[in-house]
Amino acid sequence: MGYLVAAYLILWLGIFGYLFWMGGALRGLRAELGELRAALVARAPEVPEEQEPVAAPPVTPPPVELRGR
Amino acid sequence: MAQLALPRQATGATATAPWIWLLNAVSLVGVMASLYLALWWTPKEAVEGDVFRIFYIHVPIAWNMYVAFFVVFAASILYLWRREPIWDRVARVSAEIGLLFTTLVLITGSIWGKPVWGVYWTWDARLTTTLVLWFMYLAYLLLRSYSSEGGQAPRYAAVLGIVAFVDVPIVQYSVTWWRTLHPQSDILAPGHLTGSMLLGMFVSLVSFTLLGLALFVQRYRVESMRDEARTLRQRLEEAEG
Amino acid sequence: MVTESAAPPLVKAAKPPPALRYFRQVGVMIRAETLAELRRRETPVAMVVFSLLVLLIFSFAFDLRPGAPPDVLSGVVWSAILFSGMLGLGRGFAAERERGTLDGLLLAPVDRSAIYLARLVDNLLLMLVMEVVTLPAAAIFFNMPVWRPALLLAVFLGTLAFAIVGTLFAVIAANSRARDVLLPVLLLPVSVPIVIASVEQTAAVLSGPTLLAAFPWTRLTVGYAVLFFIISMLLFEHVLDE
Repeated sequence: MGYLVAAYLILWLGIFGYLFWMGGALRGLRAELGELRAALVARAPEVPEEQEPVAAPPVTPPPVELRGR
Repeated sequence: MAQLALPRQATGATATAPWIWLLNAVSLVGVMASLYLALWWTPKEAVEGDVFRIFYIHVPIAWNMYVAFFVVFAASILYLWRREPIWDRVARVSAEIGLLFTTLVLITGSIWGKPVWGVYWTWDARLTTTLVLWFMYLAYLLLRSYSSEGGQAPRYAAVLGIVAFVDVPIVQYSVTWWRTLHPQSDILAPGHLTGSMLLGMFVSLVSFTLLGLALFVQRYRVESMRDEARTLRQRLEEAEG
Repeated sequence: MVTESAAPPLVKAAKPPPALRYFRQVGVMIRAETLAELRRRETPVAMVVFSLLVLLIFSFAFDLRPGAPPDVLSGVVWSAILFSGMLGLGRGFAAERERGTLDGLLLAPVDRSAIYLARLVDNLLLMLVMEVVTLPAAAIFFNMPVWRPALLLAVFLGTLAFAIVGTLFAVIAANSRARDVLLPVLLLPVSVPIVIASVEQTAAVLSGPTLLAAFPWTRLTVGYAVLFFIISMLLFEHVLDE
């Protein structure tokens, strides 16, 4: 019976701990993003872009293949 | 100097969409319902008694673990095909969630095993395969964290994601066959699930899947915001440099 | 500068068919890399010494004597082979980066999968060379009947399968910060079927001279090798993009 309790406890601690950690990360990131955006706005006028911001550097072109087939 | 353009989403992109609130609420309700069913409503199991109730959380979490791994696989393929960062993000979020679930499966399975088999661990086929799966998830995440900066990490991780997933059935088969060749006395046999137990299991399965989805969405948002922060920081540095 | 869709130059002798040219490219790379590796002798020697040391340590760890059960002996020999093999895999690409030959290869009009094939042969040869010393040593240390064709076949197939996946992961690990430690972390979980199959096959042969009893494992090894060979050939270009 104690095992049952232990299993459920660990499970919920794991899941809620994770959720809790993510909530904290979200709060911190919201603040950070707010600061960054403010800093950028202060430097340049806001210009609407068409596409979603690309998180990674631009896609590298596929490798140049020189097969004389 | 390149003009600094703020992305359109710069305003209020981090507000929580309504459907996310709904998802969180439904999964919370579902999980509580499954808890009630698992712990009180379903009958005691004939052989194992109350300890069997661990099964109601163990199985759905294991299911989520496999789903997460499949998502890593699919997202890896999509990333290598399309090279869009979104798929890489999906893959790494899913890998992390998957590692969490695999760890929980191993722990709950181990706790269940102690009263049933007498030991915390036996090298039976299913446990061993799950352990290998755990190592594969871990390898994926370690590969990402040990990659030097330079944009190759998503590609490498995608390759690993594909190779590992394709390997899982082979691992399953080989470990199972290995175990049948060298049998141990205790083999994992959860026994039959009768009527009300099936309902309890079904409710658990559905609600934990929703919970897994909710966790994924939450984690994805964190990663998405992290990526955005990195991009903005880069632009800031370019502006100052 | 290399251009993407250049027409073949007009002044040229009759070109050999593409397949032949492909294998010729592979052959050239193999000769270049493998001979360089073997001539340097660092890697093969280190691999051999390491595998012998593993045999030694395991004999202490399990108190192995000439009469030890075939299951245990099989496991010990394969541990030596695999650990030493990973050593060789990890060193290969690191050495090549030092020599700067990789960049040269990437600029040349070489099919990416040809690079993989050459690397695979290179790694396979390295491991086989190591096994040429390790197996006789194990035969002597543990009184193992190593000269059975079935055993040699089992060792070869297992080595091949391991090298197929290992070559792919070696490139990935070579580009990371914790290069030496990362390769085992990546490779070992994925190689679990090979480890099990090879140990079982070898143990079966040590107990009886033919592979018949262990044939399903042989089938598994071959199937694994074929499957991951195809996958590696397809995915290798993604690993080399630069």
